[in-house]
Amino acid sequence: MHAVHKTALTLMSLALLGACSDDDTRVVNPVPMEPPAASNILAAAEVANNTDNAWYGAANTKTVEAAARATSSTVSQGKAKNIILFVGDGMGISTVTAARILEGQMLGKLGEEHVLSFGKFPYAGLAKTYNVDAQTPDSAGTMTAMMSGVKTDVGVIGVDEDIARGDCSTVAGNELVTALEIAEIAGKSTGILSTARITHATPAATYAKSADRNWEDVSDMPQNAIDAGCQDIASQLVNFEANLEALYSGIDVDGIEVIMGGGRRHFLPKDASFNSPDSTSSVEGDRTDGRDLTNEWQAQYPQGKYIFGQAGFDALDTASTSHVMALFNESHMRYETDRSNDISGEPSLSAMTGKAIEILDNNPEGFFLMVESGRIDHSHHAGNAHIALRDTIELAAAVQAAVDATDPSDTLIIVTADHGHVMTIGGYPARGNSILGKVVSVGSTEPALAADGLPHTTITYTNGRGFRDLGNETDADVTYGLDIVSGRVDLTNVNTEASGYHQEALVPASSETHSGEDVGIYAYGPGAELVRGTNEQNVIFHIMDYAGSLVTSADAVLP
Amino acid sequence: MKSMNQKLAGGSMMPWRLHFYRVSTCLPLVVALWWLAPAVSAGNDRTCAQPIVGAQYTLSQQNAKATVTVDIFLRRTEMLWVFPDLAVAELWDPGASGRPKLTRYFDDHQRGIEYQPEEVEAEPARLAFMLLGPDGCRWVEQLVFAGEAGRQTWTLKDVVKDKNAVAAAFTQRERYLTVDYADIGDNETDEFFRSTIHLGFKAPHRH
Repeated sequence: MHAVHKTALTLMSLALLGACSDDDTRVVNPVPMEPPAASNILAAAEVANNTDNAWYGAANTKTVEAAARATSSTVSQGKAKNIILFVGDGMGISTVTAARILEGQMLGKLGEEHVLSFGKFPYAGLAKTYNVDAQTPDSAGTMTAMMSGVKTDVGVIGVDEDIARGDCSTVAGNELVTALEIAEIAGKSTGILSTARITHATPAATYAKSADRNWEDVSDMPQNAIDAGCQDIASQLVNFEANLEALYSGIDVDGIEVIMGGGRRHFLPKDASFNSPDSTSSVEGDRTDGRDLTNEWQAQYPQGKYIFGQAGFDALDTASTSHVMALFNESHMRYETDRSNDISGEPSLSAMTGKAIEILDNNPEGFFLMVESGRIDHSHHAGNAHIALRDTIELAAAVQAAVDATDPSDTLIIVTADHGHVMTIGGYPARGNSILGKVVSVGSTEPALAADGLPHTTITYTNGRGFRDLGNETDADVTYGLDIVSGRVDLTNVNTEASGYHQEALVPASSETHSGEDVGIYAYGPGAELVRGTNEQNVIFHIMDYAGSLVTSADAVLP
Repeated sequence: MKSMNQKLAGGSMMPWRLHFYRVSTCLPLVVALWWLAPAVSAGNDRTCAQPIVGAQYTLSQQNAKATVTVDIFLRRTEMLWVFPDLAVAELWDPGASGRPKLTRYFDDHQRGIEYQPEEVEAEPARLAFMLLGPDGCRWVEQLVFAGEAGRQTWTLKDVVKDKNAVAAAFTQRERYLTVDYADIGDNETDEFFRSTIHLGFKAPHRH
């Protein structure tokens, strides 16, 4: 090989070595930062096509930054005073990619080059999502893993794999303690936000122990479970403080400071006189035990604020509010695209995140906050990518709100998903082609035709209810009132970018399903450097614990 | 009794799937006033000489061999449509905000699926309005539609007067475990819902 080329290739190799060095702080060699020796000038010219290229320069800068981080990296045990865990329910890798492109295109860019807020985080890894007994998981098992450090079965909340789903008698002795509970014991403020019902699997796994994720209120439980003393999930949320204090004698906790989400029906008696002003049902509450849990919560926290709509949310004084329970909807909160249609108004996930942090950071001991974008999952189940991606974009906005409201030196932010969905990005669309549009190939202006002679979209689903052309409909769940349409449809005259468009699905099913592939973990702040490689999903708990010394701090409080 | 497969895959057996919209689209006034009928909205206790609480109809369709029995029960603002041959019942709640909600019960499984407002349209409410006649105080003896799928004939078989029977019909289903349709995808391991997912379920037609 010619000497000049050899030198040039050595330079390029060293640059690549810098990129790889992020994995091991002991072998860091930030070669790209050093000026080239005089004998290498000609070599630099030889690779000018590379080095003068913007792609090369940007990637090299990233590499240098990574090398610097690796060089300066120290173990950050206990440095995270605050921990925020964002969970995009059903936000698999393809969802993140498509949302990134869509947000970029909504900003007038080509899209692919765009970066979501958490895409800018310096550390990322992968999580294996399977449950102990399921290849393709559900939210209950996955969120229990993230919150407790222990993988468990599908469909159960806050209990280990020795549980028999639906059998109340197997709960006792198999309960798992969660990061939120440990943070509470350690004296931190705690909060949970979700756009789903606050009793839904993901938020429930932060505070409840249940043999079945569907035991959201007493009317959802079999009589034998009630008779055996199992508590419904809503009741466990309202009784969180007392339950935790009963579990660990001698502790005195002050309860979850911020609770925001949907799911009022599980907190109210089945009696029209308890209806909220914006109830959609004649009888809003589902509870058959006559308990009004909103009233019970208010009795426990007389200074706390119970709110149900936008006006109450706007009126919150975050400086003086000690506790807030906000239940904005009878069931799940609305999709971001549909939010403006709510009767009493619902805040966005980013607004809830900002306000929650303003309340939680009043505690000098710090806080633990879990934020779930719960309806990405639901829109995917309905086979509507547009609405799922818009909720993902709103999650990214919420993450940015958290970044803006906290100090990166003392706040660990982790963004991840519980599982993915069977949405795929395919075909060979040209760069900048609408991510929600029909595939238009490189060099063409007309939609590409598949082997059946029909145009096709970049995004499709492997299974589900299939094609819908519902125009500007903003509620993905409208699809459940329509017959399943499997397979191919002539999309020639269909606006596939509209919010009411549901993508074609190969396998007919009443609801599109979760997927079993890995999901991303994105991290920022002290302890973030622990997020790398491919991990079992329960590692997330351990990273949060390590970064915040949660267990150590809690142990110090326990008598 | 129909098998689970037949019931879940056989949404077309629902009577209002029999192209009822062909009728309703010809009656915009009915569409506009549905559920405002006093008999439906108040169980007729206050406005009719005799309480209107329920009826049993048979539905025959020109192109179908079987005749379907339909029990209709009214309780305050709610309507319960029971299809004994299918072991399926549908509860229609007009909703506090005027947006109807549907809960579909599967009697053999003692389970229910809840639809949120705007996910369905309430053809049964419009149908009940017409079955109750112009004054809303009597069940019509016979109603004939010339639908796309052929002529459909609703024939009154019995007028229900026993309020206890009506209450029992509602209470029986209200004891069932229910779930939002949006949550079915998260219940793959539940045998009932797994059947629903795998077989597909055709809900009432929306227009």
